[in-house]
Amino acid sequence: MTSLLILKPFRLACSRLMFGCVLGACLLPLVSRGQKPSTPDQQRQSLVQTLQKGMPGTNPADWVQGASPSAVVQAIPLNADNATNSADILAIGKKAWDRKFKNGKSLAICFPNTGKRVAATYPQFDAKKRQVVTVEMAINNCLALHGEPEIAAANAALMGPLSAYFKSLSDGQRLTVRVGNVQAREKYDAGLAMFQRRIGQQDAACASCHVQHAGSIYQKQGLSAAVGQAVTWPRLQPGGRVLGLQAQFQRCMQRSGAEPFPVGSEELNNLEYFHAFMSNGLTMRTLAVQR
Amino acid sequence: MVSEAITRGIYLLLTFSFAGLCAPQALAQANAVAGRALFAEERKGNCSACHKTPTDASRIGASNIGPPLEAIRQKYSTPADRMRLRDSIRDQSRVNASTIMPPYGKHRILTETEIDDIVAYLETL
Repeated sequence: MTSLLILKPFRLACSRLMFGCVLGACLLPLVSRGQKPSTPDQQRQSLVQTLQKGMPGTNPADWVQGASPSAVVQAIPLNADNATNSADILAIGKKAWDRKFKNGKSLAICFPNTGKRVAATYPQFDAKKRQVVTVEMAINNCLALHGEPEIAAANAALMGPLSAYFKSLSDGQRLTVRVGNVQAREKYDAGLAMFQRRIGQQDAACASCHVQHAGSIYQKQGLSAAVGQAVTWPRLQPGGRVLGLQAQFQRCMQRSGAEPFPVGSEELNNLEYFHAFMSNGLTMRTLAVQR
Repeated sequence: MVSEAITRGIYLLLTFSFAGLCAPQALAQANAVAGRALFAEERKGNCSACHKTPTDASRIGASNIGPPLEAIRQKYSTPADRMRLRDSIRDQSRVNASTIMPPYGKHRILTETEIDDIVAYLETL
């Protein structure tokens, strides 16, 4: 945050405007050398091939845990005041999930099969509202429908465990995000463009690290591949705090010296839509990775 | 009068030439220390996040996004090479459009003096 303050005069020029500076090089294999991959599925396959060239002998299932084997969650000692392991986080989420509304309903009633195996299909495109709906938005839509106060998507203390629990109801399921029509494709394409755009003072894109240099070591840590990231989010941070995917997007943008878009903004929702699609077919493992 | 002026001119020329021979080394040493700090500082160069420095015993690192930085003085031995090295720090994208290296000078992450300091440090590797 301090760095952003230092960069304040510059970020106006760099942040939003620099989003217009498209990185083409990182995903060039997607659009060069022969036929242009035209469908999201083709683009995902092309991205997998690109990543495999940089990380020979690996496959998408290997990338789920991140580039570093040490990223796999370890048992963390319990703290008296805070939940500090995934079971505690999920217990908090379940409590909120099962909580009865004033009208006697609960979150479970808003989803098919009381929410089991549902989150594996998110983010979804809502054709009526013409927008991408994330897990957090779906929870809030349910709360609003039943006259309950909504929870800020960025509320790590409450929305974190709640969204984690909802996603955990899909653990073991394959992620199946759909881009089903032209309007959905527009959102997907907007997310792809965001993924490739160089931003901020550091002039980096998501693709710079998580495609172009996936598997390389940056600041003593392996850079994870873009494919596989979505199935393990949200993640558990040391100390028990839940880190949502969009909060991580913000961190990356800040690291790049750009002012991040808000959690729940259309820009980050579209980015999440594209990003999740790239992990289609991989098995959901909520809170499996510590960051 | 004319010969005195010529003598003074020669004296000054020799003085500055001699200073020119000695000062850059002293300056380089002084700047290299600052450059080494800038090289690692996360909000400035942060170069060690991407580059190994195999010949800096206390700070070799494991990063492998960029090439390892060693034998710089041999690789960039002429003034033109040195300028090329400096320019690559200022804006690497001019020679490599797909680089992940931040444009330190172009985006004012580092001042011109700080870039010089880092070049001085690199030359010690």
